Amino acid sequence: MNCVEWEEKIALYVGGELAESAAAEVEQHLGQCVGCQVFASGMQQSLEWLKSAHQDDLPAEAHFAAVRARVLAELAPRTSRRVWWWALAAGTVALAAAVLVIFSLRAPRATPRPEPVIAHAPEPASPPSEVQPTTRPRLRDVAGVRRHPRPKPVPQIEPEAAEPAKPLIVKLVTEDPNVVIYWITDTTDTHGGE
Amino acid sequence: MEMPEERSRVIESAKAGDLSAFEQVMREHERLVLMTALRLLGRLEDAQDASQEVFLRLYRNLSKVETPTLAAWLYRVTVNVCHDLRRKPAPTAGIEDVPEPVAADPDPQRLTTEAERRRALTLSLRVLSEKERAAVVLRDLEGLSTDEVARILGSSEATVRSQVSKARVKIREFLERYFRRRT
Repeated sequence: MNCVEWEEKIALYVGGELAESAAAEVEQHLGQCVGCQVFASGMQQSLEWLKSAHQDDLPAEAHFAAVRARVLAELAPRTSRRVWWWALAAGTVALAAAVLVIFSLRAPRATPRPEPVIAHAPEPASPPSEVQPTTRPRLRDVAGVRRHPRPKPVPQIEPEAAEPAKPLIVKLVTEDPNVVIYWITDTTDTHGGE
Repeated sequence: MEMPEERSRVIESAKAGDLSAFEQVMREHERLVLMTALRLLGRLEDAQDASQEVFLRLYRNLSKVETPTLAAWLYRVTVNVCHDLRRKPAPTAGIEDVPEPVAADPDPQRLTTEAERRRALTLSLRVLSEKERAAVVLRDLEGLSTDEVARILGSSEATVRSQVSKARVKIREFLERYFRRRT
């Protein structure tokens, strides 16, 4: 091994980075080679300079401040944009929540009560107690709840062609609440018709 | 000296978007970043550009960076950013490029003043390959262990030792020639 090949080992030896056995080999060579002793001495000095340079040559504070200022100038618009987006998102959520609350208070229930089914049976022939309403009761009349207009109910009763004719009942109310006069008239043609 | 708890609190505030806390993080690590970049690039203006980019990357990645590994993260990103910047054509210096001293002084002892020594060291770093320079800057100038340098550079300890030894030999030869010319 010539001396050039020792140089890199000496460089590590000077830095204390060689294993014990390798360091012993270098020490043995240095004891025999004046040229490598000179090389090791110069290496020691340059390494000390390198390590001491860690504290040297610090740029002026203004150079550090300039970097800081440039970074912060770059970040400030991003941060303000982020704050603006957060404010926008929060406002949107609050508005949506308010709309939901208003609609939940004003809108009909999601699952309305079952509408009472009023059977349209033929009027009993007798004894009539009172004139019956001719339309179906609406839910708000029954449950006291306002409802949106509904489509007209589909008639569920077959045409009355097959039914017997109803008698016409007229209720006459007198001043005395205990006296009610009913006038029942048979609407069928009792005279045989045409 | 700031306590680790206080440092963690500042970093957490910075993560939450507190710019003044981030500025404090920058103040604590700006020497590490700027000086490493300066030694890798050789020009203060380039080093400032690199530092700016490093801190912007830090801000973007704050949520991913663990406080105990922040310094190692900064070293690694600084090396990478400087590597990217060096892809641009950069002046290379050989011994022939070294400027003559301002006033010739026959006394070699006086030549090796602090300023001259710093100048020679700065120039010596330019004759290294990029990987050798990164290894020797982190190992000898920043004082990191071989293991830490290997982790930052993403290589093995054996590779780092080889790069550092080659770099030291080149630096020593450069300095010897530099001061021989001065005398």
